[in-house]
Amino acid sequence: MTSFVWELVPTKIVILNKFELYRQLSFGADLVIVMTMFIVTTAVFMVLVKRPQTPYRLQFLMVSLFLLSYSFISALALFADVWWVEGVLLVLKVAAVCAATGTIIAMLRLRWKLATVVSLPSPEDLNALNLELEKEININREESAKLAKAEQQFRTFLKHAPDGIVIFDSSGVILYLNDMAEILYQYEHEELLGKPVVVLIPERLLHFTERLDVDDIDTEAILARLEKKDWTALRKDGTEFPSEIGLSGFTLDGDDVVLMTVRDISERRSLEEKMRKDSTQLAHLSRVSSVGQMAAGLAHELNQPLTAISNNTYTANQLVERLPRKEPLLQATIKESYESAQHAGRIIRSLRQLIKKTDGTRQATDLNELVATTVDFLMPEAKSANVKINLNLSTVLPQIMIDPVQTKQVILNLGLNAIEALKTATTGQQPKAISIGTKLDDEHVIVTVADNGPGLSAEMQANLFQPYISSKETGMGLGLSICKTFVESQGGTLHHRETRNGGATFYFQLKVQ
Amino acid sequence: MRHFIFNSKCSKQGLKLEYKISVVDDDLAARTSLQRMLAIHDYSVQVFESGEAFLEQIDQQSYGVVLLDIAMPQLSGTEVQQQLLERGIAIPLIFLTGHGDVPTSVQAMKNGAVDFLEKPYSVDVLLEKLNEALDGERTRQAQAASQCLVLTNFANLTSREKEIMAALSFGHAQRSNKEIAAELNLSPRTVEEYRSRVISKMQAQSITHLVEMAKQVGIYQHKA
Repeated sequence: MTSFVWELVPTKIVILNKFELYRQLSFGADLVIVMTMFIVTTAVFMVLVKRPQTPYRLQFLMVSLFLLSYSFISALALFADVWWVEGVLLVLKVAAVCAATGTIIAMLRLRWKLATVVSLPSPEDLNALNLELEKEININREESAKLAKAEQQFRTFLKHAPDGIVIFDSSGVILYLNDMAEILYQYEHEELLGKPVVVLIPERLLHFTERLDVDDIDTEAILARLEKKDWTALRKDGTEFPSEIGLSGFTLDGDDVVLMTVRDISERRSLEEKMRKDSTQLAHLSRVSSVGQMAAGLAHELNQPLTAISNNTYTANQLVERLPRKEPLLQATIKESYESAQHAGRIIRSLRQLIKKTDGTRQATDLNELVATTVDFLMPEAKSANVKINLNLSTVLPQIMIDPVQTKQVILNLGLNAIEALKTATTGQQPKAISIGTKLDDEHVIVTVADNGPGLSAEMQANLFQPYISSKETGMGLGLSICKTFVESQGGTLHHRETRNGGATFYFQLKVQ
Repeated sequence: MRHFIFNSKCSKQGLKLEYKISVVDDDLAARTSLQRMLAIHDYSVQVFESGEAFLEQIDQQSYGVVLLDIAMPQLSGTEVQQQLLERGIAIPLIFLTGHGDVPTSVQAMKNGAVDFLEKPYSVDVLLEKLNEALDGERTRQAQAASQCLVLTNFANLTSREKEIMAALSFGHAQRSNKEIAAELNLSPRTVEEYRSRVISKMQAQSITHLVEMAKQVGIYQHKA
């Protein structure tokens, strides 16, 4: 082969006349051009083969194939002298024609898309597009981040809400519960997700006789019953607790969901229960001592007419005795009436003794504490009448021997009277208030109950401690008379005086032994 | 403390005075029935329906007994008693009450009440207590009257007469006129004259009486 090539070359280079020179140079140039063409087209062809994503690959491929075949031809045409080259050339030319035809066909296929081909974006355009895309991507990312943050925030709010929150869908399936709900119901989050909300309600409250099934649950009915503010909730371990339920239904992403808030009101319930019990007890005591004191009050009242009967029958007896004619029967009758009146008096006295015995016993008492517990009972009344209670308790009170039940009753009655008076009164600018005070004075402890209401009219003052006289429509008028009896039976005194700023002040004093 | 009145009213005091029973009770029936009962027993009665009404008309000159209810509106019976004490009026009180609690009754007695009766009281008992109180009053009045009289009379003696009286009553009046005359540097006849004058002025019924009066006015000397 090398001798073949060597043989070729000298034949061309040896002849050195002008024509031959130009021919030599031309040949050289042709050789370079052809080589270059050959290399370039081969390269393009290889690239195209290697890159399947090139747009209009077919067309480029055909073109490059055509050019490649042409470069082959050109290369070989340079050595057309050699006899077999002509043959090969011919073959190649046939191939080139085929390639040309193919190229024409491929190009024809492009004819409608010429505009598109022309408008393919340039690198600069592509860069610009890229930058824009990047910007958009960044913005999206930011928005997503914000959204995620907001969602996170709300999740945190729900999670940490002071009331339990349970969210369930329209079929009652629990979608979410927050930390407090977990604590209240003693479930883990995962344990309740997907479960029907009825597992949180005691069975007996659902009124189902069948076994509970997710499909059987009438969520509408349950929700309707859940609307009741107070409900009993069921914990995981089967224990129950009284709860306050709030419900809110809304649509989220096209689905109907219900948000339920739960609050454990056991403490409130037990407090209410206690207050109710205390109130009942006090009412009972009130009634009991009222009856007792009513009897005592009645007794006292009976004494007056009995005295009159007694005096009058005695007088009548005397007058009959002075008659000129003796009237033994009349006299006997009258005398017996007198005796009966006296007898009735004795009965009443013994009744009073009896009442005194059961009225309670004296014991060493902290008066300030007594006042404080009494104020506890007055609070609800005061609150509903919008009356403030001020306390002014002495710090140097010794314990005194008093009947705590009776004394409490007195303070309570005086306090209730004051609140009652303020209910319908106007105090102008001042807020309605009653003040209860204790103080030590020589050998007495003095308890004062004052109000800034309208005070007492002269008529009321005249009949103040009389039983059965009342300024209230429904009052029996026993309150103050009873108070007085209670105080006096402990050796104390009950008084009323006008306050400087209007309003009534009642005070009683008890001896300190 | 009883106040002594140094004027001619003195002599008018005494047994002849009519004692008024005051009934203080806010209950009409109780008040009226009591008044009627006392009236037919010949007492002089006045009625009051409140403590204030009673206190308004009472003064140092009032004499009698007060029958007092305790449970009354405004001023209670015990408060009336308090008022009387403060004013220095020492009139006997009998409490008549429908209440009857021990502490009040004890306090009332401590403050000088004559008695404390629970309604309906036995009328016999009431009348008994009433008479006791009245007797006590009469005795007291009589004493006061005589005391008043003595002092008034004594005030009317001249200083000389007073001297004589003192001398006369000295040593239980055992001395003779001569001795007294000697002591006072007077003639026995003068002494005799003064003696009868003093006795008459002092309204003494005897020497012993005079000695008593001397004691009352405070000029009695036991021994020299």
